[in-house]
Amino acid sequence: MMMADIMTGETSHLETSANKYFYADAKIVTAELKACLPWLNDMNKEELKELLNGVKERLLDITVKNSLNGELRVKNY
Amino acid sequence: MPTVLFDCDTAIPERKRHCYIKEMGEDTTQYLPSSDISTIPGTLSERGCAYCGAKLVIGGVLKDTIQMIHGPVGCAYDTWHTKRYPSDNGNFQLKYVWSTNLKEKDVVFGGERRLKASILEAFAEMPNIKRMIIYTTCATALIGDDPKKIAAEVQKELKDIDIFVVECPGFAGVSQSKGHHEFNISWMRDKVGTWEPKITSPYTINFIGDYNIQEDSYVCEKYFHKMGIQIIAHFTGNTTYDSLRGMHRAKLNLVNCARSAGYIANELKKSYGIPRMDIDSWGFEYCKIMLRKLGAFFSLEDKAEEVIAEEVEKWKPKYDWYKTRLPGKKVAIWTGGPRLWHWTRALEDELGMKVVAMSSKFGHQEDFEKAIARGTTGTIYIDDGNELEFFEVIEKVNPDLILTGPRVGDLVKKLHIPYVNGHAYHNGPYMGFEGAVNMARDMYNAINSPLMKLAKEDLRGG
Repeated sequence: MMMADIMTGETSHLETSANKYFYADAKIVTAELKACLPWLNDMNKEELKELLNGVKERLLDITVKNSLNGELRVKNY
Repeated sequence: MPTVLFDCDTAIPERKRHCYIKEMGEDTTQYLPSSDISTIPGTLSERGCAYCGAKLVIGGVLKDTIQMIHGPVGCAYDTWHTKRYPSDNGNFQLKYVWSTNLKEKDVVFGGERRLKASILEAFAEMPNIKRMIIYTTCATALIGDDPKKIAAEVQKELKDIDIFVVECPGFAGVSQSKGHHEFNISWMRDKVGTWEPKITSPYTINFIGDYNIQEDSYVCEKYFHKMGIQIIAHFTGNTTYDSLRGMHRAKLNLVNCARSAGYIANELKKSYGIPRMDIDSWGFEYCKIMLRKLGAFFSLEDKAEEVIAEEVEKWKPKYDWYKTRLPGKKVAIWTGGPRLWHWTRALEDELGMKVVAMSSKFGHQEDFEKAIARGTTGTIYIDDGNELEFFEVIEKVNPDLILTGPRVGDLVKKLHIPYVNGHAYHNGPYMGFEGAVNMARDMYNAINSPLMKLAKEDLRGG
């Protein structure tokens, strides 16, 4: 969980392009979240992981699992 | 609120699923307008065709390429000089237009001979130009011409030239979006990987989905170059044919217009493992995010911050002037698709404006998911809006300004409502920090110009 690593100051392994991309995205979202929700700074890594897993599930619910976007069900798309 | 049927649409109730007003607590898993489906016969659609999507939006921007339009001359004429994408070589792509000028005789007997003669004539007239794109149109697709066969024949004969064929007849698909798709996928299949670019930096990108509208590309390019980043290819602002053949060598695809060019970024990811980074390049805060993301990817964070500091210092005072004068102004965004979600937060969060209505001509449901997620409650969201719906929305929300293209722009001017060209801009560039200032200035000038008030008056008096 790259965002939790960044929030708790741990270093991430960035050997692959894909990891570098995830890191760049996570870094920006983390900065925004910390600015908007300062109480995140008081959470430990386990609490953060649990919270972020919940956010991830919610995002997947909205954008994939329960999405009404018909294109997601088109096999060739 | 469930999707809504406007009063003007009572005769075409199918329009209900295309119109939505967001209410508090709702998300896109409950309601999402239908989009990228056929226009309902009888509505006054503002959409373009697949050929328009391939030529006017993407291919026609290339600055060193003959654009051979295989069809009646109207197809060529109507996509010439209607969008402002300059280049740094004297605007070759804006000065000329090429057409096979198909006639009834060719429809009966076939247009391939005319196509071959036109290709040879164009290369002979412009001996310094060695690259060409051939576009099919409704007529030439219907009669079954085979432009790929002709292109191969000419390539054999002339040897030092290269031709790309895009099969984009206007009737294919439901809007210009199909033409974007065709161009992306065909270019990837036929041309990417056939040319090797000279690599001058360890940090290389393709800047995808930016068409140098009124010099947008130059603004972003300046930032990237200051960070030491090499742009392998612009897809397709101020770009060359061959640079697009070398897209496989970039380390990152930076995607601005995800609707018209997200496909090629996806294909490059699948075939070459190049990550796709989606960004917004309009608005001060979005620009900061774009540069910071780019900096984080290449470990160039310091360089990104230097560029941001320099640009903010230069442009913030001007931006702040407009920030105190635009809050509360009601604006409608009636453009192609992605600008709905690119612009709404920038206008609301940065300038304090209220986006009261959004309409997309060719956006897909993915675009509406983004627009509705970023948009606010009470806002009207419409897919493939028609003229009568625009009239009704204007009555409902009474906007101070409409960001739209010249077609709908002329319509709203007749109602004495100011509009700013949301496609090709009034006085751009609109991208980047300076672009945000330009856009704010054009909106402010449009809203405060006395022209629309004067236009309402009957000068004859009495």
